[in-house]
Amino acid sequence: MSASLLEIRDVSVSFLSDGGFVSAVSNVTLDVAAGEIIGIVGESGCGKTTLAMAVMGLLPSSARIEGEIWFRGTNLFGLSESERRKFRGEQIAMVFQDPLSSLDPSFSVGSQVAETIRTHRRLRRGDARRQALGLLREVGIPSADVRFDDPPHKFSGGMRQRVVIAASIANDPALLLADEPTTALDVTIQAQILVLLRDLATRHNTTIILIAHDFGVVAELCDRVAVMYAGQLIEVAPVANIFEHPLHPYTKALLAAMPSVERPPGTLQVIQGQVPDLSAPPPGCRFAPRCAYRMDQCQETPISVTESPGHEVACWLYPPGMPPVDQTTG
Amino acid sequence: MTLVGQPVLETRALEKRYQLGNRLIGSVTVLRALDGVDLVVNEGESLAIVGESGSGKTTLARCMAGLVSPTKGAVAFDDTDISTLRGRSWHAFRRQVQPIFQDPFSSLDPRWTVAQTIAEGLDSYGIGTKADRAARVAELMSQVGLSTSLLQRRPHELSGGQCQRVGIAAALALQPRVVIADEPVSALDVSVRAQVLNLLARLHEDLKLTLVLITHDMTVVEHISDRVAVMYLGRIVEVGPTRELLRSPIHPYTRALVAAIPRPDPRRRMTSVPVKGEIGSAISIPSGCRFHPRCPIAEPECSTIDPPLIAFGEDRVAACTVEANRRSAEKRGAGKHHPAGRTGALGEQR
Amino acid sequence: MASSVGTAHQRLGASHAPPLRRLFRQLREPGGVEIFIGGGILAVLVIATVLAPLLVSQDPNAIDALRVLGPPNHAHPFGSDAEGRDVLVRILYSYRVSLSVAVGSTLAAMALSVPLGLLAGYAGGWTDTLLMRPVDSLQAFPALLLAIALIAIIGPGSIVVLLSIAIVHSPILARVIRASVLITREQPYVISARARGRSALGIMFLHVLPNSLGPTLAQASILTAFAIQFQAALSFVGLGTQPPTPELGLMLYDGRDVFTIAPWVEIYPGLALAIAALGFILLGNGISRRLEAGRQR
Repeated sequence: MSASLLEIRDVSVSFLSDGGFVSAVSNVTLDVAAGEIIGIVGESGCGKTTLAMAVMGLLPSSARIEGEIWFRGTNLFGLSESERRKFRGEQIAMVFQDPLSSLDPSFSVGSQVAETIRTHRRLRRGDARRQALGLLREVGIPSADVRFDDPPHKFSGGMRQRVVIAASIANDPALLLADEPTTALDVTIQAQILVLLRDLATRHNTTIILIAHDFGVVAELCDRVAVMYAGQLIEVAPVANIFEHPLHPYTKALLAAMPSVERPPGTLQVIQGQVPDLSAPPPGCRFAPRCAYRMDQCQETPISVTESPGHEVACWLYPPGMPPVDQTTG
Repeated sequence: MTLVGQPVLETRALEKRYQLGNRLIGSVTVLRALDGVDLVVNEGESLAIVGESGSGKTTLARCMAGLVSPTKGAVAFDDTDISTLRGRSWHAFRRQVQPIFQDPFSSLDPRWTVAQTIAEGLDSYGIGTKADRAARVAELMSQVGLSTSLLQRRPHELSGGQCQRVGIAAALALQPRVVIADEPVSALDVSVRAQVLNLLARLHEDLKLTLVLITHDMTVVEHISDRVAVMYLGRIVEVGPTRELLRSPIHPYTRALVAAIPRPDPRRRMTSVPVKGEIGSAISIPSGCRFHPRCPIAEPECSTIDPPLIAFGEDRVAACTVEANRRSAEKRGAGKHHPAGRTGALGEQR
Repeated sequence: MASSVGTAHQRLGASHAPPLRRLFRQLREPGGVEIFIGGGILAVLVIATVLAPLLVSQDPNAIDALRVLGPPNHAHPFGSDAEGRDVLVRILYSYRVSLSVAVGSTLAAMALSVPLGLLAGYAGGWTDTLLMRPVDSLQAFPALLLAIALIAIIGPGSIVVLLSIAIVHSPILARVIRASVLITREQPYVISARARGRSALGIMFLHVLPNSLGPTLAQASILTAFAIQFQAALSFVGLGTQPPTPELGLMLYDGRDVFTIAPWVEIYPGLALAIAALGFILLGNGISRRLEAGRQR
């Protein structure tokens, strides 16, 4: 077992809402190794953002959390809020989808990056400013010395996102959570940000958890991919495997539903049915009601099985104890 | 390939400017959303207009649908300038070009039922009796694949995909000749996108609909469009048949756009950034070729010459003088060295 | 997006639930409680007011000389005033005036402001400027001054008060609806309606107005609370309803002198005024919160 930076152990999160408890995340177990870039993919409502928020400790107090999240030997769920804060921004940082709401419109971008530095380290103002300037240059802000004092509204979406990334890596975090960091950006800018993230990860040896709904983005950046559906983790595999030999019916269906310039034109595969109501989720595998291969057994939650090195899937089509599926027909 | 007919909708030197800031006090900045657009949409074809923010694609869509009046230039429907239409003739034109919008929920009046929304066009044009309308609504529901049990529902009781289909049904109610879909699937989940795209493709086939698809997502384009027009900062920079354009883009911006699409194939990652710099604003459009500040093959003259759309073969045009010069140089001297092939079948080095 | 699917399922279930369950569900929605309590208070007041002649057999102006400044007892639950008149009966009858003037002024204000704000907001440009400038100027005048000026011209009375308040409140409502309209008219469904051949008038009344009315109703309810107090104030200084018509403001005026010996003469009318105002404020707040929540969904 290689050094795991983050160990998510049987985590479940539910929220109280009008219709009762909504089970947003259900029994997710996942290990993230130091230095890797792992993507969590799924459609909206699958629980990927909730899971990230659980790691960051940013869930509302009304959320019911079960399980454990171990980060470098500490169970994050056992910590108090003030202890959690020490991790946040320093060892674990997060980048959100909308850069505009991550930045305070009243302050210059440079000062916000500097503030992140000074929150966690005792540095003189001048030193913090110098470091912040260096970070802004590193993320590719042109004329950084001049633009240091500009407020966020003077920047474009892509530039703002770079500022947010600069602030997030300011204290050299071991783990960076990026929640759909490029979804709101134009495609050419998205490409720039993805390349930037990859360079930064290599240079600073940062572990990145990338949350995305776009498999293309995930292919660009990630070493491993985890697929979630309706709060359940259904498949985890090295990135090449996910595309070449997807095992779970949902993963296959999702890949088939994505229009791509690679695939010859024709009708796209459609997944029948709709996402389940998470306040009353179906028992067992939550994809079963829509699955072409469903069996009676699917009413029990499938056990995660390792089909090939690094490739796990939770589906009764691959029951434990059976020999691994022949990859060429999978 | 759909059988394509005569031009049905055309824009001629279309310009649209917006004034920002107070006219009475202080300075006024001009935003050139459309800066001279010539585009032809042929009957029965499926045309995609692709661009990023600031490209002007949405403004173009609205001008083409007659929802916004241009500052200069004209939009012609069946060769008639629509700004000259009045009263009855305008009313007659109105129903021929129907829009579909991006956000499924705000495309429908939150207080109206599905049935009312779909029937709105029939209602305003006074088409048919109540019974006729009800029948037509039912027919449209089945065309878009929705059960009639949803007829009395309101938008908040439907999913995004269902709302979008209602929007499509409402657009088809008046049997328009052209449907302009502005980012019809961007706000939908991936698996739902497939449903709506398939639907649009099928309607295009079955109803011989002329479809204009506005999008920023190139991956959507190949599945549904015959031709693609690429826009940048208020101008069209390249037009061509979809597959060819995607496989061998001519204009450097098109190339960057195609290269920037994240591919679901980890073996072919971007080695470098496809294009540097920011998109630029429609308020201060660069001199000469508007793409030159970011262009990897820009020559000195690109900052002064504003290229028109130059023909590159039978049905391809692109607004790039450098590329045009390069190709004519190639034709002249067959042995000339030509720099690292950026063009070529998909899958080669970008 | 999937969450909206989930909510859709929930709401589908809700609309088929039994009426009592639906009521409870409405209560739990944001603003539900306020609407219920505010609306309840007003409902009780309106019913009591309308049915006053049936509920109490006495004439509000009936003098019982033996009961002058009499304290509350079971025959006269709120006591009697300086003329021996039953305070409770007077309050019930004065609600008629107070509520009708207040609600009337709001309805009149809406009749003036809604078409104005709707047109100004939808048309924009010069129409907007031309319509809204006078409105803005009107709003600059202090309300009381405006009312007094009007009354000075026309003479005191309930109707004049109603009109003055309507004129004072119109600019506020006009602004509120105009702001709503500015947002609504940009919505894709409005643009779609244009594309489907709707006339501008049709769009304004079928799409824009219904969807812009919410904040206006919330504001109107709160303005009605002000109206109740405003008209009582005008009557208090003698510019509004004239005696002997029972009216809360007049009762407050009469009760001043005898406050130390017979506080109920002043307190009960005061409470009556406050409760009516409270009803409208709660209702308005409830509507406001409901709209907020609806917007976020």
